[in-house]
Amino acid sequence: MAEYQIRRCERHLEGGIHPETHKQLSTTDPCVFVDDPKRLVFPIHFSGGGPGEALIAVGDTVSQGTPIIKCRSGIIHVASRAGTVVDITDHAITHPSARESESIIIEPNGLKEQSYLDPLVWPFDADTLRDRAIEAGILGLGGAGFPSFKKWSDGTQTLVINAAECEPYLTADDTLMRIDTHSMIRGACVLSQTLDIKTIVIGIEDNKPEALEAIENAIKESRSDCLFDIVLLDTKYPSGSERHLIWLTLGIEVPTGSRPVELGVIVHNPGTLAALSRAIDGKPITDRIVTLTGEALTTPRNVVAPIGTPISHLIKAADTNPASLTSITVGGPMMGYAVTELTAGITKTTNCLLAREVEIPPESPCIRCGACAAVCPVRLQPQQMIFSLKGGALDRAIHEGLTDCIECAACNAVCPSHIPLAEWFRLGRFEARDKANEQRLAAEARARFEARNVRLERIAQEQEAKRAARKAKTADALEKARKAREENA
Amino acid sequence: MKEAFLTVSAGVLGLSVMGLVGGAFLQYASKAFKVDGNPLVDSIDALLPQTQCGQCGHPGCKPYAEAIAKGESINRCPPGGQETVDRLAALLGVDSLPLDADETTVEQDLVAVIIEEECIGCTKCIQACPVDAIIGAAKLMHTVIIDDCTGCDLCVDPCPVDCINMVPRPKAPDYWMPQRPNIISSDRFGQIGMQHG
Amino acid sequence: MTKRPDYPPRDTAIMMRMVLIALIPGVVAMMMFFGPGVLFNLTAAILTAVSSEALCLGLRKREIQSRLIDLSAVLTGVLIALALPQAAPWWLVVAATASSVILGKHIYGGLGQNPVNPAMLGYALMLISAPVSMTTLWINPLATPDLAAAWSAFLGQASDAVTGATTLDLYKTEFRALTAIEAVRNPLFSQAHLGFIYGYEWVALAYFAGGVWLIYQRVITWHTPAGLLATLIVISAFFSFDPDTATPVWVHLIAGAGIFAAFFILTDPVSGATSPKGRLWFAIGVGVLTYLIRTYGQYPDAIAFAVLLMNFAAPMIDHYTRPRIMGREASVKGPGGQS
Repeated sequence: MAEYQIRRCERHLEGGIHPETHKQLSTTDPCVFVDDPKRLVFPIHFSGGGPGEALIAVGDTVSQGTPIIKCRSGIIHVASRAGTVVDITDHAITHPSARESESIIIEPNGLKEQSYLDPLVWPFDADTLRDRAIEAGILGLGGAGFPSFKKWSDGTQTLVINAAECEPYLTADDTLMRIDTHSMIRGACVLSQTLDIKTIVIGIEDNKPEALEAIENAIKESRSDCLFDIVLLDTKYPSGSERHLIWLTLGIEVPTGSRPVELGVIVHNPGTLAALSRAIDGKPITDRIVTLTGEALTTPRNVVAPIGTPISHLIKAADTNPASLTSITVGGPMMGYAVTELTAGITKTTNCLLAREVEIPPESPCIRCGACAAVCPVRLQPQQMIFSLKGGALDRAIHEGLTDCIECAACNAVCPSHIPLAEWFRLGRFEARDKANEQRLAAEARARFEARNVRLERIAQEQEAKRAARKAKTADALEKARKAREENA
Repeated sequence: MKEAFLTVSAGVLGLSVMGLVGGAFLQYASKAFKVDGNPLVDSIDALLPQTQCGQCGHPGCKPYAEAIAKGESINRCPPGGQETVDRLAALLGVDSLPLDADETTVEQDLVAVIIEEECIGCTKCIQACPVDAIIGAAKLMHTVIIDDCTGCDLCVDPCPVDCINMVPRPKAPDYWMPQRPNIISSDRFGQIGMQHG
Repeated sequence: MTKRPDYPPRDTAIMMRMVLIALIPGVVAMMMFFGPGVLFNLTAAILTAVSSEALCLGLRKREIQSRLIDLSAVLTGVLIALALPQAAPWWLVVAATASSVILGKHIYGGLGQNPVNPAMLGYALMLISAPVSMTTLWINPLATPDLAAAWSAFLGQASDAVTGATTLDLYKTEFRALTAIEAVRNPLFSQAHLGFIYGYEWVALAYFAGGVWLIYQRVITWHTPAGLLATLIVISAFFSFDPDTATPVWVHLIAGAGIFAAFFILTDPVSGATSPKGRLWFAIGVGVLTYLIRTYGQYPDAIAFAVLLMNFAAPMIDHYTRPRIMGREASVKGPGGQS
């Protein structure tokens, strides 16, 4: 039996807000499996793990688990159901860019054909586990979609399980921790043993007693000898932000510009660890838990859905007519984004579909009341940054800490002028990223230009030297010849 | 008389001492706070886009930076666009000028692409490239390293078979940029109810 | 009493409305001791403020209705009306309010763009342009005028019987020649309810109550009022070692616009500093300047000038009082950036 302790977090989030959580909406009804949809949509470049390429062609027949997309990061996405590839075409995607992108369309044939990987047999080393995570397409299922294997470096001391789920309305992680607890604990244990991690910290908000109990039971039944440190956090948004969770649970402040991995800490979502556990048994990610919630749905609940299921099909599982909805928020009300094209398929990072009526009050001018600064968990001064950004002074906004913004949107929630601060900051962060990239390229170009000039000069000098040497040699020879002539004469 | 002499000599002596001390300090300062290179040229160079295209009439960005430091006009850099002119104006504390360029050449992020079937392997473009972004060898096909190309188009003219095209810089397939707020169809800033208590 | 909210109100108009509500006790106290003239001033100021705002929005081709309902113009009008002498003639009120709204706010771009406090700009402008009216038309609380007297004062024919300089001004100009005992024997003090300065103490208390309610409702934070009042108390207490020459602490605190300004003027978010620490420094600066100008300057009360001066320092205070960003070693200093 694994050892564990439960402690209340002694640190409290500075800033942050207490939004109404609305979590009971979707936890009343049990989690169910949805029927297979008529078609599945897999965006090639936006499935998580970076831009990819299709591994199959139109007309191919695939089984559940057949690799269909290979991303630049190596991550492989598989077909979530057996069926036929009917098209590879531009299609609406579940992504904040709200654009169409090249996608693989699969029509499931209802067969139970599976093409899984071979189960891994313990003991195995970290490289084996990394390869498996790549083949099984393991990504951060919390929302960021960062390839998990990239975090697994040697020298990692602590694994933090991000079970905070601080975003309002969301209960996907909560549900997973209640019904798939053993997989999560097993995944965490296997990862810790492979990477030689000392402690597994579970950061969980104190509004999930059922999940906590399930975790305790699962740990008691676990045969591993891992040490679990369960930290009960205040229910406050955004305690589930990676940096804040690390600070809350471990007291470590991750310096700006470095990643937790560099400090020996990795953070994983419960779903990611559960998926890892199944990947060890050979099963790649084909399904995920999605929260269907919001006041506009008749029976909000959590469902297990195949990756690629169109949003409109999923909404039907909540007994709601998708035609009555014009827009769905993907993710929670704080960090989520709107999708209007409901034919888009869910991806591995789609944790919640939120349907509700929202009244958007008109924006009014900033009066610098500082309410945003008071709730900013990173201690930024949003009222100053928005001033710089709206004035086009990106440099200045960066100087004021724009790139440290975690886009939690707590500032939006308290702004009396209804200014979309977080949206501005996101745009600014993208522009800052592009600009940094541009500057890097310019610096490289300068370096190459200067290196080339040095080289050209060196070559010219060498040629000059050679010519001088040749000239001297010739002169020498001529001199010798002249002398010889003189002597002869 | 003697008093006057004393007063004058005290003044002369005092001023001489002050002059010596001041001179010594300046001498020390000139050594202690010496800055290598020309900081102004480096600051100007940092603002230039480093395309090394020569459209300003100088063989590269650094030479143009040196020329600006000596008083040349700041609006000769088409790849940098108006933004660069404005930044240079701010740096140098002078009034900004309109960019001295055709509309067509402004602010288009282009890269060179070699039509590889037509390349005869003459290496002329390799010699022309100021940033070593073209690889290849004599009689062998050449190609442009897209990420390293600055879009200066100096390789286009030397090509004897006109097999180099300037095309818009390709973006990564998953590149995207959020829309400016207030346009986007998002409910992200809808009222979020707050718990009071 | 409902539980204290966790956040400020989620709407600019609600914030403004709450500030207006918080001013009601002060207005009532003013009317009790200084007569009904306050109401005339308030009416004239609100009408002028709203019409100036509408005019400016119209000239600037902005949507008028939605900006007017945010009540910011009304609040500016009310603040300036309460800051002006109670027996001020109508033209003074109108001129002060119009210059507040037009010169103090709209020429900079309207709500949220003004570098200085509009009400204090209007006040200071009047103090410079009409110094006699601004210093002598204060109601003597011992001679509270009736409705008719108040109305004639509003029309510009204030009776000398009811007006005079403020107590703070008296202390500076006339009482200085007297000893502390003689000064306190003045009827202004000897008839006092609380042994303080007759009339002003209740007005100050009413403003204080309204201000505390605003802090409770999180419309303002405690930093600004605490900073100003603490500074005034500390400095004037330090210099009151000679009671015959120094103005006592409680006169500094109560007789001038101290309490009113601490809760309602300095807390204008637009022109003040924004971080909690910055607000504290801002208020301390106002306190020091107020004491200096009150003691050594030509004008009776100094809050307007002190606020205006500190308004210009607010951006600098903001730059140097940023909290340390999470994950950074030190806080970001200075303006920075190239643009």
